[in-house]
Amino acid sequence: MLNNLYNMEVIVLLISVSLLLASIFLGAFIWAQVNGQYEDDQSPAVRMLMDDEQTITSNNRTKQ
Amino acid sequence: MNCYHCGDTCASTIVLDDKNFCCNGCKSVYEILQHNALGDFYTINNSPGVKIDENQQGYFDFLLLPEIQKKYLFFENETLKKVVFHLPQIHCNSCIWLLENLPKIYEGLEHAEVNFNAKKVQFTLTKNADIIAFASFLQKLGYPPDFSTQETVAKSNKKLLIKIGVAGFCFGNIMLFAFPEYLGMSEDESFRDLFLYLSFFLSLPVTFYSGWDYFKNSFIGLKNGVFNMDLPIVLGLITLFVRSTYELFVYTGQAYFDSLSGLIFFLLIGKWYQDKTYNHLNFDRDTLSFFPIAIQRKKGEAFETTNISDLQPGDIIQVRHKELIPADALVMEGKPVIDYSFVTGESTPEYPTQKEAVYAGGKQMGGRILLQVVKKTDQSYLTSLWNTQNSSLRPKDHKLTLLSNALSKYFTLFILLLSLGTATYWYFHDVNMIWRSVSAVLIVACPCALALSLPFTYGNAQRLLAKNAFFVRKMDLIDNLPDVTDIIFDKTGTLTDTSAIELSFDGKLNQEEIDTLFTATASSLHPLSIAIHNYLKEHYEPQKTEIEAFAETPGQGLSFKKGNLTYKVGSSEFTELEGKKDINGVFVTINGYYHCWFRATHNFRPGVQESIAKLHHKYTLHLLTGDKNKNEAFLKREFGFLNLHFNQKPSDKLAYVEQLEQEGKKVMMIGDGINDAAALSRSSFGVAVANKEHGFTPASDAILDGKKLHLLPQIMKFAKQSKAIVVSSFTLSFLYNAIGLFIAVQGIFAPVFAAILMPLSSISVVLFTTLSTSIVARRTLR
Repeated sequence: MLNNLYNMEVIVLLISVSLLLASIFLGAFIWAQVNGQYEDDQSPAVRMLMDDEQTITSNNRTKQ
Repeated sequence: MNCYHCGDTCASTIVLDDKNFCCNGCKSVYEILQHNALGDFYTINNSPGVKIDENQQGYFDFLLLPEIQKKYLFFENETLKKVVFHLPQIHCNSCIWLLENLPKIYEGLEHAEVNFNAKKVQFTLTKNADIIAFASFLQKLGYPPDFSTQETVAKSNKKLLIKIGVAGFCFGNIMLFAFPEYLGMSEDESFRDLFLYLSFFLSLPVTFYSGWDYFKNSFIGLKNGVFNMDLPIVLGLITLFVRSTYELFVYTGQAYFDSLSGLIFFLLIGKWYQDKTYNHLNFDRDTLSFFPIAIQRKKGEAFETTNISDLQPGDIIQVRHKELIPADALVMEGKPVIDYSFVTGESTPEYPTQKEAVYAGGKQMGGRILLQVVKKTDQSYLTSLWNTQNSSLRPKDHKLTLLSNALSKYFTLFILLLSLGTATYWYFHDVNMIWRSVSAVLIVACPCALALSLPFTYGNAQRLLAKNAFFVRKMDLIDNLPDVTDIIFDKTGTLTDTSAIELSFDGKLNQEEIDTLFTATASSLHPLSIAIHNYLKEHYEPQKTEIEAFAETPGQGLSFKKGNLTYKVGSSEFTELEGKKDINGVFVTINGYYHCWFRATHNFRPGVQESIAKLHHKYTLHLLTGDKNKNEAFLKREFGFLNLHFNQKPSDKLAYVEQLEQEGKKVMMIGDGINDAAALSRSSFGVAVANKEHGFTPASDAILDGKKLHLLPQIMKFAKQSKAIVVSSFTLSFLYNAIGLFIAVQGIFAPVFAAILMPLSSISVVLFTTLSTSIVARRTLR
């Protein structure tokens, strides 16, 4: 009986932790949607590579 | 040879820094970029530029009008203004790079940020920057801002995704809590109660947030006396929720929270699949969006920019070179050369004299003219044609909803009768079973799989068709395709490829004449001129030479001088050769005497001839063309089996479609101009053929890439097969329902059973429809 109650407590703890974690992920998803994070999935990736002009120019030179 | 800027094949003599350009527009963009150290544009991708179409250059005076300003200006303070422009031409990485580097070369531009998917750019400009000059600069670079589109981008899509997220979260957790029950490990009462209570709380947001639209829609339906598909779904949802809650608080029995949340989750995914839209295509352009937004109106001695909707009869307006005439009007001043190809499809320009009428939609090809407005824009010939169309409700959008409404009406009645019957039966046998069996009937009847069949089949079909450059506006419209009995092709342009003209030469040319023609034809963008240019280069060794007094009459021909010889190159009318009337070709006269000529043969778009022959077996084919009988002999020879009609005005085309529709035929109209807009919308299925990837297309049900026209028979076949798949998946889901109902009426329906049957039926229907459409597409669409 005592053993059983102890088990129970662990499960309750685990479940609350898992629910909390999942809620955080859900919250993150909702935030990302509202904030428009998924609206443009192309240009940020390209932009990241392009801002650094030095590399492009040096590429250019090696080509020629 | 390919243009260094835009990649088009060109046979041009325009060379700069050892690089070839197809036209001066492309060259000037290259110069701007090279001059400002933005030449890296060309190293990211090969030939990334947009072909500069000098015929498309517009004016941007209207940007200062307050109502237009509202559309693009969204922030302004003492030092800065932020504008958002829609630039439809954005298509690659290099575009992003170029546009975001513009602040380096354009004074007054502080910052630029591209949204690639929406093809929108947010520009931050200094307060004093000239917005008109900036828009013109963008146009010069090949990115003309477009202000004709309305903001309709799916906000609801965002909401739907959040709803799916919430439903998925709750569904997953409830499933976790229900797992011990599935495995028969739920002897421990304390666990079970805890899990049930948690499931109950998690099911609240699913039902009342994620599933709210179903409640709303069925309520609206009931209010209007319509039994829509959402009604049986809502009946199922309510029963699931009420029974589970009852079991939890009163009965301590078995609950269906897992099925409830799973059901809503799957339904929402189906909805999301269905709502697929194509951001880069616009299916809703009406005539007005092809017109300029504003025009110069005379006020006192000066001209002011005026919204075309404010034009009143009697106003004097100024129409500049290559501007569209916004309203039916009289010529007051200047030399009008009006190209009505936009309206009629006829490419020969007209030369009205003073006080003669010109019509909205014509394009001025000469210099500046002054006109007096006779009718307001929205009452002009072209728009009235359009408006009669729009007011008569387009029935095609509603057919499928009507069908599914009729279906769900009988379905709902059947379910209600069945529950009544079950209740009566159990009333006489075991009263305790009534509640249990009736609720089970309502739960099982919930047409989840049924509701998923349609979006997943047609949704997937729509995606597969889009892969083959056939973009359907709404997936439901695919259902109209198999009913088509007649196909109308508008004008020859949809069947023939204007860019591939085959020339044969008749006459003799000496080296000097070759050089002269070679040089002259380089300066014109007319397809025949380009063709001759290429022909000369292929067959001779032409050199560039000097010519004088070059002039081009658009759509007619060229005239120029070489030494003391006057050349005329063009149509038989232009060169004034009486004997050659109605012959399709380019004639060359020197000092007024016939010298030689090039016979032009139109080439069919590749594969079109075969596909026409294929279509001919199954459909009645018609060809309506606005052209004069110039090509009649040729067309009769090649398309003798078609119903050919020449000299068709937009109103004739509309009447033709209307007549066929009234005879009970289902017409598919295939056209490519705004002049077909009325006929396209009146037909059962209107297809706009787009020649350019980013080309403007009139309102239609589908947009087809001109290069893929030969796929039409396969597309029609695929639509038929998709419909067959819908029917079989309907049958499949009815079968599931029948099995479920058979068990439910006996009152032996356990929650575990529901938890298995529901996802099983949904997933199997989804798998069946998507897999079978993909397999069929692989076989058919090739």
